[in-house]
Amino acid sequence: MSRVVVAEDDAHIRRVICLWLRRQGHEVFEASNGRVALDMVLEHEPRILVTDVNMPLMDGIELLKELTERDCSPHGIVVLTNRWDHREIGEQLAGPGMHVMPKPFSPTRLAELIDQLGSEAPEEAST
Amino acid sequence: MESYCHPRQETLNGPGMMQVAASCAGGPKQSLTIVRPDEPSAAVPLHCLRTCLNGDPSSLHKAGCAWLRSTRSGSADSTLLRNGKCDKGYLADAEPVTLHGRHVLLLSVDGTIPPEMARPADIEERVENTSDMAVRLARAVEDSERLAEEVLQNYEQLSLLFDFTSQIAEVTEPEQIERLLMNRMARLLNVETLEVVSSRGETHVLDVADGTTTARHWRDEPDAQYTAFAEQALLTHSVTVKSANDRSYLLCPLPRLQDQHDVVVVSRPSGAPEFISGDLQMVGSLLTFGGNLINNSELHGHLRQMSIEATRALVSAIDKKDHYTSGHSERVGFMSRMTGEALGVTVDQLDHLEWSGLLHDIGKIGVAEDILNKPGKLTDVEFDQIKAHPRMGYEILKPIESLQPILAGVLHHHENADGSGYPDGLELKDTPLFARIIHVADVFDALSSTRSYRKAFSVERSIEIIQEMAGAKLDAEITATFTAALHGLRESRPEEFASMFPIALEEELV
Ligand SMILES: [Fe+2]
Repeated sequence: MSRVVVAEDDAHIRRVICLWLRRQGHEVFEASNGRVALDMVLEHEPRILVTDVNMPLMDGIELLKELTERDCSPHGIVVLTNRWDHREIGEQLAGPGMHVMPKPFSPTRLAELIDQLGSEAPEEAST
Repeated sequence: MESYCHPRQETLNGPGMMQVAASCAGGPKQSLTIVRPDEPSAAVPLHCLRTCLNGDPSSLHKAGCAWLRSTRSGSADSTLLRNGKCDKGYLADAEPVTLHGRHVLLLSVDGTIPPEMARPADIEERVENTSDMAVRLARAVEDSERLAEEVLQNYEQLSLLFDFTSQIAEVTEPEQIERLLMNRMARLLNVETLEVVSSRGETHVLDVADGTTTARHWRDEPDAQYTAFAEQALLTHSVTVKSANDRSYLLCPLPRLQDQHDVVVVSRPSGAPEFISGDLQMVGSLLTFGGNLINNSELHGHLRQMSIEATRALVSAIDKKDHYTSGHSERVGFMSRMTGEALGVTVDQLDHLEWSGLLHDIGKIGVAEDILNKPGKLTDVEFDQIKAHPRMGYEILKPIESLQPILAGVLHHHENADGSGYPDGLELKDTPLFARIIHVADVFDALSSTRSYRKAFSVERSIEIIQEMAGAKLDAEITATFTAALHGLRESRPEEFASMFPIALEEELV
């Protein structure tokens, strides 16, 4: 089971995601915007970050950029978004351990993805 | 209120909210414990627990109980335990609270009670308010968790539906559509079994785990009650929910062609969530949608089959008119496709090529039978009539919209590479590909069949002749490809080859 930071500004959606992930046995930290999430990632060093794109104060893209600059990107990153250009976002962000899921996402697939990211050996991330 | 009794985002869950409620009820110098039946807290002396619960700790599971214990600052716990009585405990009624299916709620406050609250009545009121607030909060949290649960389920169903509609667009065969439909439905409804009871008698049982299907006769179902309502569902064509044999079944008609209905039967074991109106609506609309897709694709298949058969019948009527060329058009169509495939023609173009080969001589319908079958040499006038058949075929087929791609092959299948052919005397570079392919296949088939004016040549001799014609009359590259493909066919499928060229093969043995 993995430590996960969830960044999502919509409290209802965040609640749904966190409830679901906690039920899968993960240790979950909740952040309501990118800035809070950045602090949480730096403090808790989670294995996985689940983030929305559009958020106040710091959006998901800026968050990922900040993390890359500090070389603190978690092993797995799942970007959940309801933006119509989610495909372009996916292409823009493409990299190891990076996944973009359009909303509404399939909870089962999210859980599978997080299990997969959680069980991969760390070396695989760098290839 | 001080900040400690404001919930933080992270505590938005049942136990967390109760903790918040309780800390708001207490004061800044009081600590608070929540005791739940599944994790009794050491902070509450057992005998106090018994007092609260009238000596029956197990009643906590049944009824729930709120209990606050307060001590004045500095007083020792032992003073409370005098005589084994919980004399300074304050009791309050609490409604039972259920979180995650279990009764919870026992509040224990330790610490300083503020002086203004010294009277027991104050504290009792506070306790009551607290437990009331905790109950409400816990209920609200549970409601919101139920809601979240529903949202999760709806998300799952939505994305399964999106998946289904995008995948269904990619399959065309009725069986594939049905398999996809049944697999998706089993997942969408989260059912344990799914069977399609067909009006023709058999049942297809889906293995929900691996998506495979096995067939059996539905009357062989050991449960008589199940058989009875499956039979009834086949007759009534309505969505129903039945229970039998400790399971609940949902039955829904799947519309088939000619007013027939199959019935899709899904089931969940007892204890699993009951079928709800949403399930019925979803099954109903999925099966109507999927059933129409399956039926359309079946109809499309039937129509296609019918047009192929009708064309074959027409072509063989023309071949029969020309007494000696039975099966000629069919073979030219087949060999043209074979050659096109070897030349790397795309799959949908191959269909056009085959049709073009099949219909290449359709213009012979306008040539008199006695000319077609004349044993001796033709006069110039007679030969002109024969030479008119490609253009006649072209004129016959031209009005048919869907046959436009095959027209060039029909019109030019008698053009020679050196420009000596008919109707237009085109040279090789101007002759369309289909026409060049059909030409080679046509000449080979003419040579290897018996004609009114001569006997058939053997397969090998016919090949030799077309190789001699390559360059001047036939496209050399296509002739080489054709020869190789024909040899390949002879080796890989000798029986099929023998049934296509029986006479030519006989000649080879002579
Ligand atoms: Fe011909």
